[in-house]
Amino acid sequence: MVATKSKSNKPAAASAAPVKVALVEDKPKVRESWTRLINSFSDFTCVCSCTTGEEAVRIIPTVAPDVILMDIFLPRMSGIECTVRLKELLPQTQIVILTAMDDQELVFMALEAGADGYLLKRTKPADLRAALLDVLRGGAPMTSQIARRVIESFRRKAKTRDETAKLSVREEQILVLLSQGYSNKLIADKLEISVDTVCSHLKHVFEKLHVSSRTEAVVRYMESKNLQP
Amino acid sequence: MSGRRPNFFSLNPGAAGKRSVGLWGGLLFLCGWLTISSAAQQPTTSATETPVAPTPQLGSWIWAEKTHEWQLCRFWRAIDLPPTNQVTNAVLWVTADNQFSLFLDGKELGGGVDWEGLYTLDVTAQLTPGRHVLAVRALNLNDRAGMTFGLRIEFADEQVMEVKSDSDWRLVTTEDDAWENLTEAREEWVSARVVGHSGVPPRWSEPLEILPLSAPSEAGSVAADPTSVPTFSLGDWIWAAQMSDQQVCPFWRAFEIPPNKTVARARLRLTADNEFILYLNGREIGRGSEWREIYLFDVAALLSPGRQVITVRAINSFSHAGMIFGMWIKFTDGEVMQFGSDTNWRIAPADAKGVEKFLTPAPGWATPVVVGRVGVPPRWTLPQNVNIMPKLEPLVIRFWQRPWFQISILVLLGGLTIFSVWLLAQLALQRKEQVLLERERARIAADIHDDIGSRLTQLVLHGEVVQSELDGDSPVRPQLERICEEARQVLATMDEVLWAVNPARDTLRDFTAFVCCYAEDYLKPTGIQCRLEVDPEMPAAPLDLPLRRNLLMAIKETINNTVKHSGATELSLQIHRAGQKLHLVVQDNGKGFDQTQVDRDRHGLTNLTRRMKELGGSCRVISQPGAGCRTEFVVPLQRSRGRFARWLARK
Repeated sequence: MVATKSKSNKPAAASAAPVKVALVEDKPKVRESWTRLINSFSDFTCVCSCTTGEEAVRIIPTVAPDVILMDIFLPRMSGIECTVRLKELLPQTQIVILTAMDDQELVFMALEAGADGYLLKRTKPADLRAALLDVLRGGAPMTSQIARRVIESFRRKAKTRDETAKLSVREEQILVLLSQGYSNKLIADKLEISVDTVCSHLKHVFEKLHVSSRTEAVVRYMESKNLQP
Repeated sequence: MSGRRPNFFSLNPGAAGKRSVGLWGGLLFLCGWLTISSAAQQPTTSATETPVAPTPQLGSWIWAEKTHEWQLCRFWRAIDLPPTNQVTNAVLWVTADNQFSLFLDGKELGGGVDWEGLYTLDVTAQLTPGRHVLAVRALNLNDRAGMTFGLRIEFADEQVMEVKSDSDWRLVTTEDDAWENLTEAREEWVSARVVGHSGVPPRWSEPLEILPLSAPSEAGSVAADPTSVPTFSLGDWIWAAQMSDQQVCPFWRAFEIPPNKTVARARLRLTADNEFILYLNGREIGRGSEWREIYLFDVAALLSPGRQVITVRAINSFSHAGMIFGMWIKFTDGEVMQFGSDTNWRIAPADAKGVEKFLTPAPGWATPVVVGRVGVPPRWTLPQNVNIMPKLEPLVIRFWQRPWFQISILVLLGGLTIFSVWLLAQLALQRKEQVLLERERARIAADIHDDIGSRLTQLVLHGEVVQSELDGDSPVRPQLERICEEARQVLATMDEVLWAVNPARDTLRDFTAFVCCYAEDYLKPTGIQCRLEVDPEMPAAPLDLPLRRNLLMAIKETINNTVKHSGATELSLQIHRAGQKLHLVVQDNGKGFDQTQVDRDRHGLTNLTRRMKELGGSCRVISQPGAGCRTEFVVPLQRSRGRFARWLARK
């Protein structure tokens, strides 16, 4: 029911070849469930499911999926590190981090590492599909807290990094409004621009963030790993 | 007896042999006199008449234009007495810094070597009508110099004539041999300069001793009146019966100061052949190593009523040995006490320790023998010099110098050290406990996440998969949907629990992020716009679990109140850090309330305030009807102090 509703909203996606999804998840049961769930959407197909980060780095580039769903807690190579590697190999592929826990700190680290979005594992299938389509469209999801962390991250780096890693005035303006709890729509109204423009600005912000903090994110994750549940 | 310095008089730059002879005669006489008097005199406490304060009779202190060491000054003054008026009484007083000889009409009347003493002489007989010449030869050894003089002549017709030291005196600048005999001043002679006024410091206001000026006589002869000669209180040269080279002789002597007396002045003179160390009441007060000179100590400040012990540790290098000593004490009531070196002294064994601390002599101590009289060769006839030792002050032992105080301080410090170590140990233990607790919390968080969390997630996923594979019209579907939704709720709650338990989230930044997310999520379905005003650079400063939890509860309650009662359309959450304080403000644009009317308990305000108090913070609610409501929380961030205080409070 949900799937058909979504399909009717996105006729373009439905008419094209199904979206190729790759899955990286270490728990077999969860992996199986995800695979079946994704395959249950008519416009998505799970082309590959890997159990470890090492396997993912080896296999996923060969299948070239459109979206990668990445569990953040993986044995040995973490989801964060795996994201960094895969983003280098497949810059066009969208990577969505899956977490069981709503932890902004982890999420921000994943975003810095190169992830294009994140999803809670308990997300409803309908929301999951919508979010995946959002990511494919380039509409990076960003909460007020993530926006605030992004601003902080750029301000901290402003002293040391080169100009290319700096936010433009408009970008910063959008981020500040986001951090104050305004939605994309409200921001668009306030700045008298279109929602798409806001999204495109945010996409640029993410690109800059990836460029400037990828490796750093891995290091930071490793450092904090001891205290992670 | 080895000499180093020649006798000072023979060093005088202008002193011719002739004068020296005359002077030597006087000196020899004095020494002879000393011998006689010391033989006759025993240590006594004798009352003497208090002389009339002589200062009014004295003139200024006069000297030459310039002052230098080893300087000889010759002062000359002529007086003319009326031929008809008979002199009935004439007394003079004189002294000089440091030494002098006085001449009247070319005849030496005597001299003095102690500028603190004042020398007096009755000259009625000598002052016949006509011209008389007064001459003073004074020698300055070092430092300040000066000569002071006074002569009071009473005539038969009750007229009084006073002659004082002033600028009328002339300084003899020519090399005249018999200058003291000249009855007319030469033109080259300049006026003496006044260098100090009588009784004005640094000069004395009252002489130490008033001494009779020794009348001139043939060398070695005995003076007519023994009591009229200065003795300097010196006794005999004494030593142990057995004399040897490299011998140490610890002399010991005790005396009593009467309980009701106060010492006004006290002078202690001594010397030893070859060296000595002087102790008074167990304290070393001086040393000397020149047997030809006298060492003069002002010990007035060191003497108090009671038993006093003097110890002289004398050392003989070789050949003759001896120690000579004199103590002169004047009490405030004018009584004088004096004693010298004699057979009343005791000699402790050379190897005895702490002799100066003995209050009574030990039984075995020997009695000294008199080895020589003052002024009799081979020892000096007159000391070459009087060394005026620096004035002695009593050792003031402050309370912090007392043993009891120092021991107390040490004990206190020791106690403090032990207490500090104990505290440190406790803190370390506490820290360890804290670390263990954090580890345990992390473990619990991990367990919940890995086990319950992932299984629940699996459950939800499984449910969703089953749901997606069911027929669209299946009646089980809504129920399955409900189960999944319920499980999602559980997971959401678990997220919050995990956030609270996870020690990695014990930071201000995480707290801020969490509270903001909470507010946004909570307000989303209510239609109230959530505005966030948060410091851009919220530090990762530690925020304790109790603080974090209580703050979150407080904010939740406040937001809940807003949603329930305010009817607001916008809620602003502000989080700022000011120094070591965290300010949280929840403000809405709702209908507000009258603070005086509202039942605080119903709004949970009492609860909020209590919660904040527990954290050492405060809570303030500001509201007016129609003007929204503002709730402010201020909490301290200094975790360590709070923890320490809490720990102390627990003890």
